[in-house]
Amino acid sequence: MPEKRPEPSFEFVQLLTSHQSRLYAYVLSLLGNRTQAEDVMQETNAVLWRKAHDFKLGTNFGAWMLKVAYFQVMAHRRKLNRDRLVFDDEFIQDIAEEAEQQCEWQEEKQRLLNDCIEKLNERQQDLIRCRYTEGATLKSIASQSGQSENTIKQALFRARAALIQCVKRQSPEEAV
Amino acid sequence: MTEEEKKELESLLMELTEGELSSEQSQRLMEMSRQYPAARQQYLEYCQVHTMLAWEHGVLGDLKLPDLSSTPELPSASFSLWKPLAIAAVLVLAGVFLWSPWGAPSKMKPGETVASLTRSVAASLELFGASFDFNNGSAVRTGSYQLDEGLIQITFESGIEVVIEAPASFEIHGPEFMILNEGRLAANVTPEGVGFTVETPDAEVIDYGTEFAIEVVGERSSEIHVFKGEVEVRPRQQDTSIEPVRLVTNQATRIEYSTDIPLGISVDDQRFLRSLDEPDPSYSGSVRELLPLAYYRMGVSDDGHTLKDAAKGHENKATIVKATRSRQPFAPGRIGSSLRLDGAKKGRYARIASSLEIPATEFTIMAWISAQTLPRNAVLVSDMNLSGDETFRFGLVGDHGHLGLTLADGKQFLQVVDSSPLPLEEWTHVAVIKTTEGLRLYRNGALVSSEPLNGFQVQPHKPFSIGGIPNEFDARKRNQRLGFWHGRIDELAFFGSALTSDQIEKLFQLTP
Repeated sequence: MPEKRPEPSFEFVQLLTSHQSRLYAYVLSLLGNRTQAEDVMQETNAVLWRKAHDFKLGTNFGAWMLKVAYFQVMAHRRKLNRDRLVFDDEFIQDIAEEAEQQCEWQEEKQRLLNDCIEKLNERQQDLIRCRYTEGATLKSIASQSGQSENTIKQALFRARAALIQCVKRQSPEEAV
Repeated sequence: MTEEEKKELESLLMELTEGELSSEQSQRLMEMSRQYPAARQQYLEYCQVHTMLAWEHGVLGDLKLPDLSSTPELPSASFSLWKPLAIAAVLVLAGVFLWSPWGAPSKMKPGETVASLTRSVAASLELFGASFDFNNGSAVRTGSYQLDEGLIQITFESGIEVVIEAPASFEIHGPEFMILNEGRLAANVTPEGVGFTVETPDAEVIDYGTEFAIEVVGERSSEIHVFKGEVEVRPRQQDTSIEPVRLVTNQATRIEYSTDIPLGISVDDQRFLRSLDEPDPSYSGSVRELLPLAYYRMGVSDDGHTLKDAAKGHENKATIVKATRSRQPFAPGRIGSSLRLDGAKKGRYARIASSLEIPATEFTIMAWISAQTLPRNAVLVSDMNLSGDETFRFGLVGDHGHLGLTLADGKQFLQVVDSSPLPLEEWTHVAVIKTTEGLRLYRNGALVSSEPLNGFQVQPHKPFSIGGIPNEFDARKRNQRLGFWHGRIDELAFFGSALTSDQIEKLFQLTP
């Protein structure tokens, strides 16, 4: 019978759950593929969970998490066939630092996002809700609204672009 | 980027979030990102907004975590062994049961907005260990918070107002449930918020529509004070034989971690800031009608260091000089809040704008004061300048708490002193008046001492400090530690005229 491992603290669980969005953003930026990103995210969570006792509360959880995630991204890529790789290693190394900086304020931006969604026009709000809350596919949104998939795709793109601008305007880092 | 390239980048990004990039498309995205920093930035921002939307709307999926108790070394490939766990279950796995009033683990959903930050007073607030720029009106989500400096007021959706004072550590789990691990909290619960529950390391406090405060102090004991209404305090003990305590208006209890036996104590309405608003009852209105030159109500200011001047037509604001980064300076006062001064150790005082000048012929200075200790020659108001020259001091004279006003002109001095000492920890109304004939000192509306001028020539005085003397420079000239008030000052008013005995008495009587 293996020795029972002590369970991570409540604070650790909270840190982990509250940083999921940041983790996903970082991993997706490095991989450029949503499915792969979700897989690596889960793998990273498992490693973080196992290493919970290496983490000292009060130190920078986000930085530690992304460091683990970076190695998981690299490890995951080694397991994939070459033709499934979106980017090359060099590109990932180039972009990793910027990706980390980009999501440094993620939790704060996440907080601003809600207000920004409310500022979208009604149609954009509906689209975002369909796409994200209800998890509807492009195809189903298109067939329901009687519009082409391409139109929906572009409308979603514009809604996201509007949200990026809105969050940016309100972010503390922009005010510096 | 050319317009064409911009369009191309857009379509690549659309593909990334709605489909899957082909190898040609990936190649193109890399090339563009390498060539144009703006393209790289747009790519990163786009990934980020997609992930935030996914997380916000809960389609990112539940956090899946391995069960460590059965698989100490999880083989990296065996993800099928994982248990998909909802957050509440994760908390159970972590050995933490959120003790809800219903006896089941609470369904904490991290990130859900349940309240808003309605006041932030020089606050340094961290959520999950990360500093955020919380402003008035910011959404407050469920999560674990640390308040290192300042004061905050959180208003829940049901209208429950909670004031928390640093240093504090707390968790918000939902619209009606929070945990106070450490610190001081005061809650004002609306009828809609009945059932609001605050858990501490020692107890669970369930509200039945009331105003109450909790302090979790060193060695993990919790005090619960009820100012209005009723609460139930359940000691957090496995031993269910300990019955809950019911507290009603003006009752308080302490639950100590080691014993969990409720200890009845006196309710303390001077410890907790229960509201960050300065009420405007008859006292302040009457003071204003007498046209003060400056009037410091000691209301809580958002920057944590400005004392606003409430006098009509004047703006002689005062600034708190923080000698150290210590506790925020506002505390419960006689009316609303007051300025809290911690004596010589902290060296905190406030400097009044130099535009305030007290005339030589007649003046009145009036305040509500409270002393925690009576430091030698502690100052309420002084005109000492940075070189240490002083011609005006209203404060304690000597070592035994005798209040007095001393005027000096370099050669001689004039003093009026109260023969009985100030009581400790009791709000006292004080006023000192200069007329064309002499000095008069009042305590709680009654004249306690007077002194004729005897030919003493009074000069106009300025600028002033409150509760201490400038101690930044020229320390050699005097003992830097001398002269700091230890206690509270509230409703400090300066008049350019001599108020009558009747006016002073009436003002004293006005405060309930």
